[in-house]
Amino acid sequence: MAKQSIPQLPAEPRTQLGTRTTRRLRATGKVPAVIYGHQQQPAHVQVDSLTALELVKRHTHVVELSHEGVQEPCLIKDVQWDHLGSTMIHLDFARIDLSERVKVEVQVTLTGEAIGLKEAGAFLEQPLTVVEIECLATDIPEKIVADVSALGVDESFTVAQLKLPEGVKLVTDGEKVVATIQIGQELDETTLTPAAEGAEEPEVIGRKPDEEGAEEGAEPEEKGKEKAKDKDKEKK
Amino acid sequence: MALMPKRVKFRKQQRGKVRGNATRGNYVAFGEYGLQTLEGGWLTARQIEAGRVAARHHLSREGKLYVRVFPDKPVSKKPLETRMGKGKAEPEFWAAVVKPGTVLYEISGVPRDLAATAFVRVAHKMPFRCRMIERRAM
Repeated sequence: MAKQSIPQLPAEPRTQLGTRTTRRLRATGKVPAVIYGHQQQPAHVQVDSLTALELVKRHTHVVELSHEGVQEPCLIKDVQWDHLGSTMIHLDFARIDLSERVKVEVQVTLTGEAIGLKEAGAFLEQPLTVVEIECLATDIPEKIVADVSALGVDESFTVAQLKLPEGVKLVTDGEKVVATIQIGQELDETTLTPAAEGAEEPEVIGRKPDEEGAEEGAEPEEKGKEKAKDKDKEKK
Repeated sequence: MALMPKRVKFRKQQRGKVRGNATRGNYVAFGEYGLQTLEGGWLTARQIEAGRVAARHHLSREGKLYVRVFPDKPVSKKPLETRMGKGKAEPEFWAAVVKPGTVLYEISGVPRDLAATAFVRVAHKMPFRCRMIERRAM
């Protein structure tokens, strides 16, 4: 994979911290961020939210942060999202040396039309979408492509089968399944409305079945008494 | 009754209030696409089942469907024409407490347009405004 130039991300120092200030900051189109690592003091900064969002969506890992006249290569270590997962609320940058090896999570994408998909009801499932790798900060691949064209029904494509670029080492367990082909369930009445039968009420932990029965049995009597009282009142 | 717990510690619960936003279960974890709620409230076991049936019917045998919510809250209701008092009523149905941002269903192994049309049908069965989301990289 061809080496890409490191994108620039201008950052401004953030002097005022706290919930209120960061909320006001987000309203102006900025995202609060922190830079740490390499045994230096952490620096609180703010970056443009749209630029940062674009970089994250493009699966960028390394950025060149420029703040206070200094340019630092940093790894996007963590991204915090809002409750809907659409707006970034905070970014973590870790200082790195471009010649050092780093551990990062990289997207796995599938290519090829699997043989097993020709069977009726077969579908391709991808339980693992990211793998952790270790490589030079400058050699981080944008994504790892897995060719699943030879995959049959009930067969799995594991992490160990991934073809990695030179100098990239896998950290994720090699036995983990990246993709598998399964046959969908037959559609019948039971799959549409399961669990219709069975107990109407769940079992209560620490209560004997006799007690439950006794409590349920007591109710109709009470209702009967209530009705009798109502009738008496009407007569009066 | 479709979904409910097998064992509970207490038969009845207080109603409570749905406050705040979802901080857990608010991203696509198992499938490729998810149906995310934009409002909070109770989702009854019947509604969850109705959504599941609608999606499964539309997808026929294709893909895998995940239901991410479970109704673990018993909701009691007094019978009609009953006087007030005489203690808390019997549990009537089970509901899942849903906060804005919660992912209700997930689909994997199908093209995007098929998942989108399935989620439109499911969203009609839901008591909240919903939207489709995709799995996030980071």
